Amino acid sequence: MKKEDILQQDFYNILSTKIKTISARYLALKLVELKVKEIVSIDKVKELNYIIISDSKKYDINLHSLDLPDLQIQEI
Amino acid sequence: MELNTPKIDSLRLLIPFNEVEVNQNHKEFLREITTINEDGEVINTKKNNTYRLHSNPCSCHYLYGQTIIQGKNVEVLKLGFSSKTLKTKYFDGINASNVDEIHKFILSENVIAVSKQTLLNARIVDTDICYDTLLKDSNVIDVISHAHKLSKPLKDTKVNAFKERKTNVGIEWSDRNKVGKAYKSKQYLKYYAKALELKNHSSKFYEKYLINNDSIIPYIQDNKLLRVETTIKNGAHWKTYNLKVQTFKDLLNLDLSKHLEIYHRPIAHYMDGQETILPTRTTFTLGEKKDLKLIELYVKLYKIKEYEAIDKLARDIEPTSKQNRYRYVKKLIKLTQINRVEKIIKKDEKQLNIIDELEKLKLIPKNMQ
Repeated sequence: MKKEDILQQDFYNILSTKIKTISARYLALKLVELKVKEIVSIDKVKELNYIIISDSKKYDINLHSLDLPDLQIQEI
Repeated sequence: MELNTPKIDSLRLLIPFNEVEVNQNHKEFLREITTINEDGEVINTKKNNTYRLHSNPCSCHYLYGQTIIQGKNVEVLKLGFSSKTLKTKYFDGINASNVDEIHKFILSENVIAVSKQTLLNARIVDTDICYDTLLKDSNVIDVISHAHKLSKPLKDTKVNAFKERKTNVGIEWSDRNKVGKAYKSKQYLKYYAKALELKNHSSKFYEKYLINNDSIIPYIQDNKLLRVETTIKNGAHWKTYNLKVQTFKDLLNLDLSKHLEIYHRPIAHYMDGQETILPTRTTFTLGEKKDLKLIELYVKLYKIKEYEAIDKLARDIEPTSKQNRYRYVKKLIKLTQINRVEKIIKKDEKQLNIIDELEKLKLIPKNMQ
């Protein structure tokens, strides 16, 4: 699958969790940068904190309380 | 230092003039200033209705004026002040715990005498609410460039990426002085590098009150400290958020951290993360490419903004049918949005320094070097 298509797919997966659009957009970009090919699951731990399991790795995501293109992403 | 929470940065109070005692001996405010020539001839005389001690960055702004309150013309003193009056506690923002300090400062300027109760009961206008954050993985320039590219091409809204190279970088939507009654659709919003702005545009204040403050200095990072600022014009504007905020006291009693919608509404209005992406689209048809090229040419040819080019192009192609023109404009807006996202995808993912990045994104013209 092309990088652009992965990005679109990730973006829509993230949006389905009700993460706001600008944050979702940025998170999808970051995941593509990290070479994520597929999101397997997105679990909400607490407000603004999510665990994303991808095809190969697991990430701890901390979003901003404002809908900004910024977040903290850590491989766990 | 208050981070990651909304706080009051500045505001203006409309105080009934009969509740204020103006210092009759003040050398400028509400005094007649006479200009004479070297022969002692009086050239003109004017009354100074406004005053601010410009040599002091903390100074309040005093303006005598009239305003209409509940259908009546009322004499008022418009008193403007910012969190700079708090000096070393600048980053705390104006709140209920420091209102005494602000009151004392106003009295110390010796321009007016006013009671604290009068201040609290005064009506508020033009409240700037700011949100300071130390960015996590991102940086200010990244935020600005993403925000710029995700901005919707709105016909009546100006998007301005600051051009004051090296000294102040940011992006703003709308014009805080031209919002008028359109406060709901044109609520002012700004993202900027607070540390850079302080060091270069408020250097006097920064050097006097902040530079030696060990609890603040670790946060003053040029490319990490982002300020998001918005302006709520008046009580009617607050009402659009289902909040009843008429007086200064109402504002101080409001827990702004529970009302992030005052940011989220303008963010969603000015930027679009969702509609710019179509799941199956990666390329453009020949017709779409032609449309995009035409928009680009119109921008260059007429030296106009993208949204103006779209409008002009639609009028040239569909001069008579309003309905067709509307559809065409909608189509062109969508196309330009997709085109921007395509550019983001293709963007070099490597981190660039703040200035190179701005130049690359054409937010700063090369000739400003």
